[in-house]
Amino acid sequence: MMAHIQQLTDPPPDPVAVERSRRRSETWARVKKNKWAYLFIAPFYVMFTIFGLFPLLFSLVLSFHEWDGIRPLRFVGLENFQFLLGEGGTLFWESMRNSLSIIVFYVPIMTVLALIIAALLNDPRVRGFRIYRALIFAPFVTSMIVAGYVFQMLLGQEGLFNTLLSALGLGTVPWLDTPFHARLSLVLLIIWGDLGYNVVIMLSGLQQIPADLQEAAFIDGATGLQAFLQVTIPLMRPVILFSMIFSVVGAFALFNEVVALGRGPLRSNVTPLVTIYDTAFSSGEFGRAAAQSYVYFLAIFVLTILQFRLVGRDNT
Amino acid sequence: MKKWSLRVLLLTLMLVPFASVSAQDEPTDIVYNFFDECPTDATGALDIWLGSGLWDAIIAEFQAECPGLAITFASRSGDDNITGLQLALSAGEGGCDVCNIEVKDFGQFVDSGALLDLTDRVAPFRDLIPADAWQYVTGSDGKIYGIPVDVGPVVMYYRRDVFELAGLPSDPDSVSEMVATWQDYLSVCQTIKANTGLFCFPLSRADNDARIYEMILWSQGLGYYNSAGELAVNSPENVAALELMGEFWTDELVADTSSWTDEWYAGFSSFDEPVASIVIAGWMELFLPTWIAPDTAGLWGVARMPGGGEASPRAALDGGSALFIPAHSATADAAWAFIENTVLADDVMLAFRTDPTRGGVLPAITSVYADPSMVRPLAFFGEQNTTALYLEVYQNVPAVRIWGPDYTAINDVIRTAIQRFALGEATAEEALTAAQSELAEVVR
Repeated sequence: MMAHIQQLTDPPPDPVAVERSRRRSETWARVKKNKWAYLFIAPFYVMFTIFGLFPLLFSLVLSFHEWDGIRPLRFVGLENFQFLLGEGGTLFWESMRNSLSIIVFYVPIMTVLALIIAALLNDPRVRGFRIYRALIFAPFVTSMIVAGYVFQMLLGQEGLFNTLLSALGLGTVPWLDTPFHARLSLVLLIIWGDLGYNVVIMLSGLQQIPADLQEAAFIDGATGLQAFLQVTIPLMRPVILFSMIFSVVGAFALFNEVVALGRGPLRSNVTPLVTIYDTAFSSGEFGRAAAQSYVYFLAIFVLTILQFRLVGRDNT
Repeated sequence: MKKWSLRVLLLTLMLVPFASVSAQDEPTDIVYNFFDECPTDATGALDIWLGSGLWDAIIAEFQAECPGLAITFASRSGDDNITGLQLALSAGEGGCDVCNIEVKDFGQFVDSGALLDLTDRVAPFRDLIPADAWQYVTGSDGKIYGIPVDVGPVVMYYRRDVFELAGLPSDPDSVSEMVATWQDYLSVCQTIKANTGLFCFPLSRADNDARIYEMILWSQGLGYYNSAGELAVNSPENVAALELMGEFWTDELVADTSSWTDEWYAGFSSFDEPVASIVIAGWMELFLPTWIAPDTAGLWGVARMPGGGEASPRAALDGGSALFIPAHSATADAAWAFIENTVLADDVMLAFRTDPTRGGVLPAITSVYADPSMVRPLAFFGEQNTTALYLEVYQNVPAVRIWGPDYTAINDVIRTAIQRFALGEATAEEALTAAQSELAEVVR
């Protein structure tokens, strides 16, 4: 009787809370139902949390601290960022400028070359095109450390390149001995290394373009070059944009190539990643290195947005 | 079938003499038996990170005598070793119990608070090692955190044949006298160039690693800091040292090759176009005969390095290593027992110098230098007894501040300054002044 009276005097349940509880039960039921599926995908998320998310957040914390990697963290507020924006940031900004000048050489050459080679390999009339595709992709799966050291030997003062040039009576080139040539050598190495990947990307884009569009252009009297420039290139814009973004980010993120080929005279080949590594592991300034990482991320982000705006206006 | 069997048998018999000759030629490693019994009662896991060579044998022997210890040995060196040490010390667990590091990099860790204070333990051994070697393993609190293992006193290796071809005396005493100062060395190089057309030594412009520059400074008692302990990389003396180095380039006396590259090695091993000399540490004695220039036996001599003048020490260090025990080590006593009975033990360190296949480095403890086995004329160096020279240099090394907590950052900035100067982008004064400004910001 008392219980019945109690029930009558209780306020009615909150419909929002009831709904929330119902959803929670449903979600939990779904999780239980698909527990094996979740278990199978869990390793990725565990790994990502440990090796991706945690370092990301920890480096953000670090960027506001002074830390030599051993002693306890000391909070310094925005000091590391102020340092980076002041005189102390010389090395970092120098490395950003290095990357930009590498990009100026590298991205246009790489994009045009990849597009031309992809167009050639897309033509089934080219004999043995499958072999060429495999060959051109091979450098991409080669260790850049190994390739870097091999290039260093080839481009040395008495390396194969200069020996050949001398034999042809063209004199020698100081491939690694002036800032300009050292940068050019680095560009050569990364074009050699990444061309295959970009060709494959371009090739997949070319294969998505319906053949009848080009045929229509030919019927309207367009030449092969005109059809390529007026039909193929505009349709390839999203793919070209992707390839360019990949190349720009790749040029900023060069590390193995620089370590193997050398940092270059007057640090001409030092990229932001190399500076960040040196700041952390050679100078023991993990806080400053973390601040550099975030500024570096921001720079890449802004550049990518700019690229989207400039190149991908209509097609992205 | 019988014919074939006979042929195989005959062929095998023919090859037997060659096999036995090659077996005889193969040098056999000496077995030392350094330890009569285990020097410690400690038990547990002992992780040792050291170089390779003789250490493999020593650690195997130590393990055999100390079954209570589970020793894990990892041969580590270079940047990977430093990164590994940073991570281990940062984590406060794991890593090594006996850790090895180049002396020039010790400053990065010495004040970290992560190394075991060894001051009391090393007290009985202080006199075995010169004061200068101790300074690099001593913290700003005056406590000792490491034990020097080997040292790299800088000398000048030179090709006797090139000096003779240039019409210069080639015996070590005369050469030492001839290159008393860096200015004298410049004159000798000019003579060599004029009379033979050969380069005096390798010195890269674009890839300069600042090592020769640091040796020029060090040999004159100069460094990167002034007497008040302030950073002064652009002092008038330092500027003068860089200008002096520039004269070797201006007069085209040096080969423009990067250190530790094939072209660099070729300069030492060549018979047609050899470089005449190289100012470098004593460990080069191990590298020249074994893998850099083994065919040039008998052509080399070793002389004192140049200095700054009459009162100049004509001595510097380059390389060398030290051991430390992390403060978090659970088997610190066993680690110390290992160190005490190896790097502070005469017989072990003597072997590091004299072992025919695995020796060659110069021990930090000077007690071994009086041992008769250290007097060993080396055929590769024209029967010269080089040990006496190394000891003379080692005991005269001036206490200058080049290595220290910020050495990596300073070296990085200075090498860029030298490259700017060498490539004609700045005068010596401009380059070093810019370096000073940069370092004032970078170094805390």
